[in-house]
Amino acid sequence: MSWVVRIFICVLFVLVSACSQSSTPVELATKQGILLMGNSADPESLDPALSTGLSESKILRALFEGLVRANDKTLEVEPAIAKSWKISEDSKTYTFFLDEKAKWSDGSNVVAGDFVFAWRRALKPTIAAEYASLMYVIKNAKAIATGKEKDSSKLGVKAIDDYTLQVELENKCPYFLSLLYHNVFFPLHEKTLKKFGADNFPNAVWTKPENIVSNGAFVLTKWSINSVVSVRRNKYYRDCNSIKLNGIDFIPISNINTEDRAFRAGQLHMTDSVCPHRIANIISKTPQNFRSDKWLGTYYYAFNTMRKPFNDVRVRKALSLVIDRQAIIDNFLKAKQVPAYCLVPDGCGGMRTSDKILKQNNIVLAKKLLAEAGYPEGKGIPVIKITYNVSEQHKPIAEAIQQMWKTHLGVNAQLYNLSWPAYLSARKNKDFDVVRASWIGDFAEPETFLDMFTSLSALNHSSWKNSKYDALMKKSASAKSQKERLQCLVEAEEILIDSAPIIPLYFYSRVYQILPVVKNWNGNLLDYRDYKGVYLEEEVSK
Amino acid sequence: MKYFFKRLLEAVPVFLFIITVVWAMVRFVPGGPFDSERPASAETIAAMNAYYGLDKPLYEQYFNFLKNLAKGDLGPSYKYNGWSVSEILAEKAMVSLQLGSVALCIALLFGIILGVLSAAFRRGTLGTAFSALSLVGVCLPTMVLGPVLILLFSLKLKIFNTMGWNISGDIVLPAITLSFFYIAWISRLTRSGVVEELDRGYVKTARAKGVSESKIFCVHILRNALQPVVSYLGPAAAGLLTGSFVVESIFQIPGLGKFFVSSALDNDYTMILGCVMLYAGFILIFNLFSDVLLALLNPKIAKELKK
Repeated sequence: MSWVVRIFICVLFVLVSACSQSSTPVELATKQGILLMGNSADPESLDPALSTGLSESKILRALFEGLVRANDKTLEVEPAIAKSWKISEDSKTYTFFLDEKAKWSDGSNVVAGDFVFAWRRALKPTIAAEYASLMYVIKNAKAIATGKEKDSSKLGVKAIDDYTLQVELENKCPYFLSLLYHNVFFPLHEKTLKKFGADNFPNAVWTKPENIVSNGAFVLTKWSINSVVSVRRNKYYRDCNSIKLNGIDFIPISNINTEDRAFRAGQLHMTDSVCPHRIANIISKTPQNFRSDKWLGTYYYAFNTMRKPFNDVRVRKALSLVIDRQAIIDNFLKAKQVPAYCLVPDGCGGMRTSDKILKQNNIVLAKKLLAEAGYPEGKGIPVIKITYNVSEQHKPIAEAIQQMWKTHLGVNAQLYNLSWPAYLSARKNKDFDVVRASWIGDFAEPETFLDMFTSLSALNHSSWKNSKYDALMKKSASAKSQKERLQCLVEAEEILIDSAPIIPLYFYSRVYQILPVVKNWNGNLLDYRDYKGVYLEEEVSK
Repeated sequence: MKYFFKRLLEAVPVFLFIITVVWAMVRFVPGGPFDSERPASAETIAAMNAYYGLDKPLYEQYFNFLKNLAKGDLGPSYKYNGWSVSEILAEKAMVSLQLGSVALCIALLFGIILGVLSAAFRRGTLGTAFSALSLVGVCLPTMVLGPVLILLFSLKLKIFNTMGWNISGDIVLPAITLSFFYIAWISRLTRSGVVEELDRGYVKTARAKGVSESKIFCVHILRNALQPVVSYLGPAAAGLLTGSFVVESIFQIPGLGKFFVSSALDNDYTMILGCVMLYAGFILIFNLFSDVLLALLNPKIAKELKK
């Protein structure tokens, strides 16, 4: 057998010498100015009108640029393709003046017509853009999207000339400029989309690296599913000097343990998330790499208020009051998330949480409410069905809540762990007692959360309805001042929390690891950034 | 040859039956391919269904599917907008084929060597050690072995990358992880085959005639002892070459394995069918090959087949 052993040793030697690298991928990439970034999932589409996920949004912000940008620290509105704008006295007409230096990656100019084309396209019923609803603030947008208005030229957006774009709103919208951060408002290169038959249909062949024409700081150079999405500098970008990176490799790693190992082995500059059980270890050993940024998202449970006994506000309140949010954070999430007792994160868009909202659990009050509802010590309450989707994170939270209800109220619950489509289907068909839900804000204003619970909202899974709440939300949209608007929103949230169709549990944090070589990486509530100013400093890595 | 083509023809209705059943089953899974966190409006769903032809009656959808299949078109992926299923499968199959074939070679080489050694030394401590080793291999799940190998060879010794599919060395750890179970299983099959053959009359005759021990082992015993291994190779090769969800996930390998699970979870109908067709095709072909190989190894089987 000695020949087998010899061959084996030779093969091993050749392999080891072939694999051994003098530098790690991170060291090599840092020298080249390429950021290696973990991304939680593969992009499902890189068409700005059609993409919906956070993993796509990160890539799209490198490839495209909209009228305005969000300051990556404060999220304040800053000029982008629109170098300035003018708002009419009634706040219903916005006129944007475009930067004449803005170019597409094929060298042609970005003109006002590109925005008109992109926005009209997103609203076409045949395109089926999920986020087209964000455009409903524009005049006739909803009528066009729902097919009631066939003439798309009636949309309240027009190109006055190549570099002047005018937008007419249906009603006053105080946060219209913030809405424009969203990728559904990005311009599109009409010629390219028409060439690939994507102007009337949701066909994203045009987004392949060999076909795509974009206007952002980077261009798409590689897209291999489950492997990597690479972007490199766009030589035609209008503001080249603000871009310090030569490129970014977005590496889709859905397994957080794999991502963590890759980071430790020097294959990533930054991860997308961190496994909760690793947090304590990271904080003690490499605190310089650990980041936990506030994120505009709320994790909550929703009751099916159409079903007994959840149609009784006292039962809903009791079940909410016994949950120890801090214990869930300390034991399972471990990243210093903020416990949630209301829906809108404090300070979102300037809105402060009302003092009237109770911000702690209260078991005595919960027992009293349950007894008042006719269920003393939980007697008579049927087994509650907690529905959630398969995830390492959702299960322990559901189990903890199940235990808290049993211990403090004597209420039994059963867990239903469903696959993603089955979970969505159960939620849509109202086939649940209590369902896990969460919401990440589309824009940094309270309406992104509170609009969900208006009577006609498709996102109102609880089926809860309150005419006073609806009226306040409507009133906030036409408020004369910011103060009045925020007051309406605070009152609306008070009603929502007092009626308890939902149990807010915690506010999200973006928890990730990042090497100190990555400079100027600022966290913000929306986790939006166009990578301007971000750079890699080689010296620190050595 | 005639037998080969006969079996190939027999495989066609089996294949059609499998895809028809799966085609029907996916449509009964709760939820649709276009469901998302933000519930799409009825108009949106209607537009998507119209675009992908899902608004047509079921029988029409089925015939369209068969018509496109005959042309080699598996349709567009519902999840990855702008990508066709054939395009994705072709790209990913290359990765899984590379990884799977290396793992198969490792499994065969080491499995047979270990099996023969443990049979040869079956009465000594060495034989017991080999048997124990193969038992460990069968029991040790890839989700444990993979991270252990990464910890040792990537994070401690810094020889290999922890993940990815960029340089030639990236194949080593996943191939070892993937082959480990098969090494163990093949070695056990080889061992029992060899032990069974050792006491046969033809072995005694060969020994009496003064044939060398190595020749008896390699030419006479192995030829018969490997028949169970060859039967096992059909499904094993299909499994290895179509990728493994766990190994691909641990090592972040852009192979086929992920799509077998994710397509089902995402209700990506066309991708589910593409994966099933590929796997079913591989199973049918490799089983056919292993039958042919068995016939070549054992003239008795060949005679029976001719009848």
